[in-house]
Amino acid sequence: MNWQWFHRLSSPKWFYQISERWLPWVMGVSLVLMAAGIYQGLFNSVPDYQQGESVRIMYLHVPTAFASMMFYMVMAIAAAIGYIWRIKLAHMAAISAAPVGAAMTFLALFTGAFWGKPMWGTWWVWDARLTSELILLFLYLGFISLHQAFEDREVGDRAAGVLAMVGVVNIPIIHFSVEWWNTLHQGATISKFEKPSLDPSMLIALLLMIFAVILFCSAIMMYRMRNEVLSRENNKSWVKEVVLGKQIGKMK
Amino acid sequence: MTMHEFFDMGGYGFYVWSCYAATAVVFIALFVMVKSQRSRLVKQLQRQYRQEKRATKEPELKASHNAAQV
Amino acid sequence: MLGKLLRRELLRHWRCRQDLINPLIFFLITVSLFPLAVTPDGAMLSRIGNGIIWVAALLAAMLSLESMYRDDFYDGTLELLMLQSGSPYSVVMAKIISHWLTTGLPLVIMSPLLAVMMQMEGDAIGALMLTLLIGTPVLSLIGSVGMGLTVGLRQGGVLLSLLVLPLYIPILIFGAGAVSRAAMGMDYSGQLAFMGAFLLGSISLVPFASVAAIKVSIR
Repeated sequence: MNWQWFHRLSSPKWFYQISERWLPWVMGVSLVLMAAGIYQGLFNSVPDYQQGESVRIMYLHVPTAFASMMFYMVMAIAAAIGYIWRIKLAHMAAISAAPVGAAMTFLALFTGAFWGKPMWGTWWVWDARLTSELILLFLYLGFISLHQAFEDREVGDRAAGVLAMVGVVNIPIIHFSVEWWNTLHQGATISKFEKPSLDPSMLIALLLMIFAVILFCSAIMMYRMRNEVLSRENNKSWVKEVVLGKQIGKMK
Repeated sequence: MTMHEFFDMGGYGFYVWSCYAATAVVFIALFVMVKSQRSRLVKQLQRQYRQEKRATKEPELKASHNAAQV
Repeated sequence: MLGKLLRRELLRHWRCRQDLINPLIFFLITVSLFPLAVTPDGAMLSRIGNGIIWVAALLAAMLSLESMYRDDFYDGTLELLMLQSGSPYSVVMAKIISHWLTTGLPLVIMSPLLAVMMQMEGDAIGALMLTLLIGTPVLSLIGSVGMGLTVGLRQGGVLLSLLVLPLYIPILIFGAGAVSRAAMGMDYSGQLAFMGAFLLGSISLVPFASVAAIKVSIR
């Protein structure tokens, strides 16, 4: 079997060059979709028959919550690939995905609280989804802090890789036990928070925002990865050319 | 739909606009942080390469300069 | 091999007995703070006692993880054992088993005393001991991975709690849940079965993760 594509794919230089070409597109498409989604969500979609205008928070809450889970998986898979095959680029991807995912988790919690206040009458409810999201934030913070605690970045990469793999095994278990715990204490929570029945105009806004947020997060992750590549490969001649070439360009 | 109705959001204005504002702040912060990280990194690398260049080009000169200072 | 390593671990723990008593004192003090902070009212205490005792046991088990690897890591014994003994898995297992024997088991034995102080009834006390008996080995097992990752770090202690506590959540939910069902006179065998599954699952998976974690730290 020909493994050349695999090595090319894992080369930081290749990534740096290809991302330079892709990034404007990813960012541009994301911003266009986001503008369309916000327009659709705020002006062009109907209010929910039960929740009224507050349903417009959904167009932020659902995409950020979705992205927070997706980027944990991206981070964990990248860290596992990096750990198993010792691929530097995969570790860089993992460590670049973490802050983005943590930011999305924070936003999902924030919008969840601000949606919950008018709907439930309280800022925080120990609802299964909110609780899982909170635990996800803890897992992100653990990953980031562990990686930063090591002075040697490569050791930190490997330690974080082990943690990410342990986390992935545990996430379904944690999720399941939180669900179970929630049904046990159902009496205590107010379950008048039905999923809004989705009007087509709402669905369009939601889908636009989901794609926009995912693309935006991917773009930020790629920017972070490019920074990681430059700082870790700083003694490579191509990095020198990139960095100094920029300076010459400026002087002209 | 009047301007006031739009900002009021059926009485939920505070909650809806807080969410949109927070999201905007976080998204912009993510972008600004990554860009400032990059410019800091590039500056630091440029300094590093310049020092390396100086160190390899004129080690004798530097040594004599140091000796003169002493 | 496992037997020899285990004897060595137990001997090592026996030589610093004070370290073994500290988690137990911590357990006792933490639990007795709650009536002072919340209420001395018996009905209330018996309702929240299961959760308090479980959380305190979890924290005590976590704080005592330090003794698992730290000393051996700093005098180089750990590296030697991992490389020379031929089976890093038995080194890790010996450490986990001895950690449970010296912390988990004493916590289980001490729990009825605290349960009585929290005004819990007979059935609930039995369930508490049973769930702690199944649950504390899982705490030692999962903790060994976190400890393995942070053993080489100076500020490892706080970081360890950040890594390990989220992973302890399932066992806490089911352990405390079983006790509160027992207190209400309901059947809790389902929760025990889940905890048993967690135990078997972590026994089969944790040694690999733990060895990988230590290898990262000692290289």
